[in-house]
Amino acid sequence: MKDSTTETLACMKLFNSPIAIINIGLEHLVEPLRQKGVPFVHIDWHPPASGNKALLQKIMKLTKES
Amino acid sequence: MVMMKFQSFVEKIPGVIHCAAVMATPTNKEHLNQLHLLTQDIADLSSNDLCIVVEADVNDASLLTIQEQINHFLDNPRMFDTRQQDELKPKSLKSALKILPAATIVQISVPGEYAAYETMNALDHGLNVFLFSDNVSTQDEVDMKASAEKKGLLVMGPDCGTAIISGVGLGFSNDVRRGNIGIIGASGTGVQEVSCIIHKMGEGVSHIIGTGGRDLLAPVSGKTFARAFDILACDTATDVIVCISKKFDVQAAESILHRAAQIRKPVVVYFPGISSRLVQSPNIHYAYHLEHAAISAVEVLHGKKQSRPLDKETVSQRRHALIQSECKKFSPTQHYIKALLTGGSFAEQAIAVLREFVNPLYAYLSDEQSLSDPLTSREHSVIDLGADFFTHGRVHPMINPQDRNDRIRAELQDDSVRVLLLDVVLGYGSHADPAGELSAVIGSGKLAFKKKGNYLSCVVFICGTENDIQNLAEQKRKLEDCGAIVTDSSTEAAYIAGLIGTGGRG
Repeated sequence: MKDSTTETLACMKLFNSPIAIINIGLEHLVEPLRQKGVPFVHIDWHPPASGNKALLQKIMKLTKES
Repeated sequence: MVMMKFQSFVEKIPGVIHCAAVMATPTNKEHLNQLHLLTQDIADLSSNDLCIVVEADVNDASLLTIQEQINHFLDNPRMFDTRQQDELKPKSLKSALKILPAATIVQISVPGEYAAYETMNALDHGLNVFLFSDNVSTQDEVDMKASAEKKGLLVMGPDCGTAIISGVGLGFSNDVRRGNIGIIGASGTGVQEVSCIIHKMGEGVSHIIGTGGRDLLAPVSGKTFARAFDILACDTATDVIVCISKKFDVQAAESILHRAAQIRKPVVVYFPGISSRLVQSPNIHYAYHLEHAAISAVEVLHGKKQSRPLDKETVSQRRHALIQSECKKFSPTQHYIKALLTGGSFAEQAIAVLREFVNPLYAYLSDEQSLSDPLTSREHSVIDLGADFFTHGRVHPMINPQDRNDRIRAELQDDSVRVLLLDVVLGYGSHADPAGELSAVIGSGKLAFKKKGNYLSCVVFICGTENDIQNLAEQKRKLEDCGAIVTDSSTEAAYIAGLIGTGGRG
């Protein structure tokens, strides 16, 4: 069992600290957060690279390589 | 959301049967082509163009009205936007983090082709991801999860239907009590059902970690599942761990079971069809279906022995009078069971149970497609109306039941239908009144069958708790008032449908 690995401990932080959410996409998914008083921010999302898929692939490739 | 509102607005115009409003991406064009809706005009559009396809049964005059109403919406979108205008809405993750620097999770539900980009961006900003989007490639999933692993972060998804982290629900989730049972699931609605049954039995959940349906398959091989398992193994709020995966590679599943065998906490495992001999350990308890997994978790939490799973004989005895009464009402030409479900896990469950009763059984699920045409059922059929084919460019039927309602009406044109098996999923993310919508369709279907001297039996499973916003008791009453048989277990619902469908003999 790798329960003492750095990765697991890092992940444990998520479960031991207050939850705050950034929402990208369907806005109605923030309703439970609003009702339960969970801090959240909804992003006014638009397709990256203005929806140009070829350009997006190039950006992702460059990001991956850097 | 604007697209959803637009589709809903257009579909309410008299004469309109369907409306699809999608970006003219190559994938969407391909999908329209499959539906025989790709015209040359649409083929010539670019990915940045919005394409609106309306199927209507109208004359030239009413076509003009439809066009006018569509233009009215497009010219005045704010009139139809009920959102608060004063909320802070940043346009990038970087700006969002300036408003909420304490953010821990990014919830992503953008179209699949953009999901990998947004996920990688979130990981690069040191944030965990709940990825609701579907239609994401396996290679992208592998890359995202490898990146998360390097950074000590968690990617729940893609196609992750549900999660509850420290009481906060993400995606579709039910309002369940907090407690000591932690769930890891590669099965969205399956996990919802398990959490609801645990709640009904008086216990609760510590965390629900969704992994995405492919996590335990190659080449992802359980990256999120293993991480989630280690977290719950260490988590002091979790006393029992439940592991659920609809699909898995034996090697990946075995690796999780070996992890389980090395901890002291009880672990309940529902990997359909896996041999309980694969890894044997006193703390590992194998379950045989979703309901059994939930009941087993509560039993082992209480230090009790695991009870037998629900089976055909038990349901037959328990519901004998009801099943016999239903079976007397059919005409000799009514033969077939049609399961038209919105939850993928419920469709899987229905297939497993109905195979005990009928053969052949045709199916259309994301990964099982013995039914060649998803738009037309055949004899005994199970259809997952939340499968990628149906949701591409459309809203999931758990959010907007319109497509399933239309499908039920279409199926009921066939007089040989005997039983409908349906589901209603309550909770956050789901439609505000799913039973209200469904009961209207069931009611008119039953009436139409009666007029022809036939009888239509409907078995409906409700996944929800009394705390869910839709009001469980009210939802149940609406369905019972229209003559449906209502259960709170997808397993029992499928057994009842199987027994009624085969004359009570099984």
